[in-house]
Order: sequence, then structure tokens, then C-alpha cells
Amino acid sequence: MSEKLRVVHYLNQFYGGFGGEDTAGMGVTVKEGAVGPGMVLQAGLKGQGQIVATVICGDNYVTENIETAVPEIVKLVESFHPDLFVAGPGFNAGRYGLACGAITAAVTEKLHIPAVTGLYGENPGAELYKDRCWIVESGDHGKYLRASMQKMTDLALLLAKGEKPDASALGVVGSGPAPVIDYATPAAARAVNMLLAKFRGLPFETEVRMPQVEQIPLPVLNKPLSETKIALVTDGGLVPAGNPDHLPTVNSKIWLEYGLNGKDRLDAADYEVSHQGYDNTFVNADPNRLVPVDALRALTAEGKIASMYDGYFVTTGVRTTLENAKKFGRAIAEKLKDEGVDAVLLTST
Amino acid sequence: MTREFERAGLPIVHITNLIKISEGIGPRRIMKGNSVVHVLGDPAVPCESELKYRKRLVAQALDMLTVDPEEGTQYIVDNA
Repeated sequence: MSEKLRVVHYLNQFYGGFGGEDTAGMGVTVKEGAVGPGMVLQAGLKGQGQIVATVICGDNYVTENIETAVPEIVKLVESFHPDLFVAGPGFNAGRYGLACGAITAAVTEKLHIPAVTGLYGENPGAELYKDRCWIVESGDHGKYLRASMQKMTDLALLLAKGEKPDASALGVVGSGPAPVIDYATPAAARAVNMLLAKFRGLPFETEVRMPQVEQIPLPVLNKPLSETKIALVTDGGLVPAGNPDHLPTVNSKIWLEYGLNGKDRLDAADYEVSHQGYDNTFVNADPNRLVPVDALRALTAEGKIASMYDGYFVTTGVRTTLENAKKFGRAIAEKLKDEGVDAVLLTST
Repeated sequence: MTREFERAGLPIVHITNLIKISEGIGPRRIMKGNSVVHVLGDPAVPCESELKYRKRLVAQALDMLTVDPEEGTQYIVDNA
């Protein structure tokens, strides 16, 4: 009778029961057993595993200090001697998705135990880590918790048994972690075996996967900085008070342009934020923190640049589809070129 | 959006706190901002100092526009 698998679960501050944006800065903490969505995970393990601990951390704490926070979390996970690690699911939450992806990849690479997370395919965390760990397509909404957790546990249990999963059948995003290489076989032999397999139409797995960033020629300034006209763009959802054009707080299908009428700075009274993906307090208190009109005007007066485009462009960047983002980028770029703008500063939250 | 600006030939600096996301998407010039919730702000300091701080960051971003990273690389500045 085999022992139950020891499982560690990772959640953010919200799913861990600590709060929303107000606790996004909280550090790492642990709760015994299953917490929140962990109950669904526990059930999905069908008696084959036991959640021994739930590691919880604030989304901002992880993502703002990713180089130090992730090793800190991995060390803590390791202290429980788990057989299996699960993170999230993070659905389409940007920072949580980044955290789930980064931590699951680190656990895979450092602890060499089966590790699974669940994210929406378009989540930036999925894009970044889909080739470094197992990410199951979770859908983009919390209502898919049960369904996605089931897929995650099915995959996790397969991995724990040492079986090779059929990635597409299980709804995996990307290709999962890089294959473990058998260094006992010399590289030359492995390469020839791979080539023979390919020649014979047999399955084989590449050992090195090239990143897929599209190659675009580097844009360069064609004049000195002091002669340029610069425009400001943001995806932080800053709009005039009252949100007259109804920029949505999430998943925007529009972009907008607002004139600055030569003003020196943005006044808090005249603006508000329509973006549910971050705590808007600081930007509401001083919109220049997001769209730096005051700084750029001052630098223009000092001659750093020749002029500032007298307006700014805005959309809401939370859960906005890649397709729409590309459409907005193309449209705004065209407008900027028509207006003789030389370069852009894009501020994101 | 950043890639579409680059595709159109417009140099752009992406100012964000989550540089990992930006690195993955691929724009060639990225600057790390102060924090997710105040990317070009520092509420801990008095207003006048904050404007000075913001000017320093924005000036740095503008300077980044004049740097041309080698092919296949991204120029990333983490200064906050």
C-alpha cells in the first residue's frame, strides 16, 4: 500500500484568505493543510495525496522582487519535503499568473518534483513559463475552478507516477518543462538517435527549445534627443474624472486619446482611474505618477526634448486580449506617426 | 502594444515594474518603474522630492531612446 503523496499548495493573498489589493504586499506565510481552493485540490487528489501545507504570499511581494521572493518561497516549499507541488490556478490574473509560473518553474528546476499550475493561455505568466513547467489551461475566470483543478490534479497524479503525459490531451499550455536529459549517453549519440528517429518518422523530443520572440527591426531615433517630439501612452486606465467615454475597468476593447491643452501637470481633481488590476489610490492621488506630464513638461522646458505631444493615449491593460492590444498599438502608432511624434514612453502598472 | 509601436518604426521605452512580462513580450527598451501601484511615483517622499525623482526617471527613460541594443538583446534598466 503506497503512502499518500505529500502535497504543497501555493496561493496568493486573495485566495489565501487575507484580502485583496490591500494585502498584495504581504510577505510569505504558511497555513497547515488545505486553504480555500485547496479544498478542491484535496478532493481532486482522490485520497492519493494530502496537502500538508499551503504557502501564501502577496502578488506584489512576489512580482516586485521576483529574484529574491521566488527562491525564498522555493526554500519554504522544500522544507515540507513534498512529493508534489501545485500553484493556483491563477486564471487570467497578471501578477498572480506571473507568480504561479515563476514559482512552479523554480520548484520544477530546483526541487525536481512534479509541479503543476493552471493559467489562462493568454496570461503573461503562461506565455513566460509554459516551456519551463507544466501549465494547464484554466480558463479566464474563477468559475472554472473545479474544472481546471480537476485537469491539474489528473496531470499531477500522472507525473507523480512517473508517467509521460500527453500534453495536448490534458490541456497543457505550451510544452511543459524541458525534458530531463540523460547525460550518461554522450551528446553525439543522443543527437544521432534523435536524427534517426526523425528520419524514420518516430517520435522524438528536442532537448533545446528556442524562444519564440518575433524579430522586429530595432527602431532608432533619426535625430538628437533634443530635437524629438515625445508622446505618452499608458495602459493604467487613467481617464478624465467621470470617465466620460466609459473606459472599462477590465478587458478593454477600446483605446482613447485625451488632450492636455498645454497643461503643466495633471491635477488629481480632473482625473480618475478605470482599471481593476491594481490599487488605484496612489495614481488617483497624483495622476502624474502614471502619466508623467509634470516631469516631461519640465524636461521639455529644459531642452531635453524639443516638444511633448499635447495629449496622451490610454487603455486598460488588465485581462485585455493580446489581439486587441495589438490592434490598439497599430492604431495609436499610426496616429503618432501622422502627428510627427518621434518616440514613445509607455507606462504600465 | 509596445511591439506594434516598434513594428511601426517608433522607438519606445516600456516603463513598468513587471519587467519579466515585458521581457517575454519583447520590446527592446525596458525600464523598471518604482512599483506596480505608482510606477513613476514615490509617495514616501514629499511632493517636491517626488517630482525630482520622477524627472530623474523620465530623463533616464528618454536617454534610453538613444541607446541601440545589439540584435537579439533587450536594453533593460533597473534603477528604482
